Amino acid sequence: MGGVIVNMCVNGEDLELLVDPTARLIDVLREDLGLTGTKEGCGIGVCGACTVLVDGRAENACLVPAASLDGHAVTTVEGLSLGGDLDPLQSAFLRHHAIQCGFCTPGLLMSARALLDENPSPTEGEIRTAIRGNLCRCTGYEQVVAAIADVAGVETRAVRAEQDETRRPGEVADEGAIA
Amino acid sequence: MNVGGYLRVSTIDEALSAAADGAMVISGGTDVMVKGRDSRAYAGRVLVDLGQVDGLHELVAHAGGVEVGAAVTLSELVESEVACAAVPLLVEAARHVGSVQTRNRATLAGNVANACPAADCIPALMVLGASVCVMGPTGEREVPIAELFRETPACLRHDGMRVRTCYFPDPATKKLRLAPGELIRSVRVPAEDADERHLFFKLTETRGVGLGVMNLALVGRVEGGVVRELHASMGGLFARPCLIDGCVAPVVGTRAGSEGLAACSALLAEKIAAESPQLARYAYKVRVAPALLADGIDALVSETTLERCVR
Repeated sequence: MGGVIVNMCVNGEDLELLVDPTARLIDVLREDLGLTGTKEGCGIGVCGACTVLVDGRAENACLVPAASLDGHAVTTVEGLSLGGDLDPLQSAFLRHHAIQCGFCTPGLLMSARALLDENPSPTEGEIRTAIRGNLCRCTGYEQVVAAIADVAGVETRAVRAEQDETRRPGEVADEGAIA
Repeated sequence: MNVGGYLRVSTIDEALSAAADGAMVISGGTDVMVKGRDSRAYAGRVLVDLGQVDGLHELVAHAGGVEVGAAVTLSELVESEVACAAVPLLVEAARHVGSVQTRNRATLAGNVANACPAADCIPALMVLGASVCVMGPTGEREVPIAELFRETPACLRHDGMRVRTCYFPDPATKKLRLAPGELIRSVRVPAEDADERHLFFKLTETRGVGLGVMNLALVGRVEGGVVRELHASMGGLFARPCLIDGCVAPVVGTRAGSEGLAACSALLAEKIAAESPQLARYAYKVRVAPALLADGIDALVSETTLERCVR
């Protein structure tokens, strides 16, 4: 059983890889390239923990044959903060406490990045649809939605709820505020 | 996963040549990546990938409907203005397949070729009267979707029809009426008429993105509150994807009142009892499916959403 040569760009770096014909993208990322930010949860394309960008679109790395990616570009969560500066989404996740155990976070970030790259001003419904394939057992999603909405500059139910929680007694709501 | 090799082809002829030599054809490969995990299901097989065959990425208007190439992803289908205008029911069904991430890789042809009885796109294709364009060693032929699938009772017995536990790693000749060396080149779908109504509903355990417990596709014509024509198909219930037009016949020519809906429910319950007694979760499905069908018809006729009807 021979390997397959695959030329692909990973986080901006052009690579020539010899991959096993059986390998999934997540196997190559984690085992061959040491990019362990991408997590494997269910392994059947349901939990979204392994979400990466392939040519800018969100895909489950557990469902992608690595050998099929010749000539394609892959971005992992490590690729969001090249040079040490956090992506605005990463900063917003920290600011909104959109993290608890953190296992789903890389996948959520990549789904959110794909959404905002394609649609910089999504509605709340579009945000929720974009992360529907990302399971999170900790946050209840509201802080995640608020973080994404914050970066997009749109108002959502989740953002309003955060504002209500942080407002001091007697303080009047600013209807135009986002975060 | 253990396979004999991976072949990237750029022409349909190369794919046909590989298929004739026994290679297994994949497009997105999403189902194969799951089924091949932790098993030797594909040991010694060569996977031939259609993903880089240019002509198979086309989604075009065809004979008043659409033709969807074998490498067209479900996201491309959902985002296609041509498809949204001509076959909104199919687009609606495709939106229910997995998550955005899955739809960005999985293909319509793959959803058909995998032939899961609970697949979301198949009931929609059934009621729309779709067909598949098949290519093989003896040339090209068109197969109506209603005649494409084989009876596979084994599918009924495994829990939830989940991909992970699928008994058929290569469904091409076991679950489809394809000859060795044949592959699906495209899916052809007639357009919905402007005066037709449609409905798709997927019943899931958790409102998550996995396979549905069952699903329902309806397309029909209602004039002045009277049902003039109605086609129905349900997934997750039968050993072979099929139309259940016979079950909805009692309401055709009527206003789909409670007696007619009850008759439809009773006919479906009888059909499930006769054809699918070995169905996993039989006791649940034989009670819920008839109610879902009746609620679906009621929603179609009254132009409401099924979300309100199902409790």
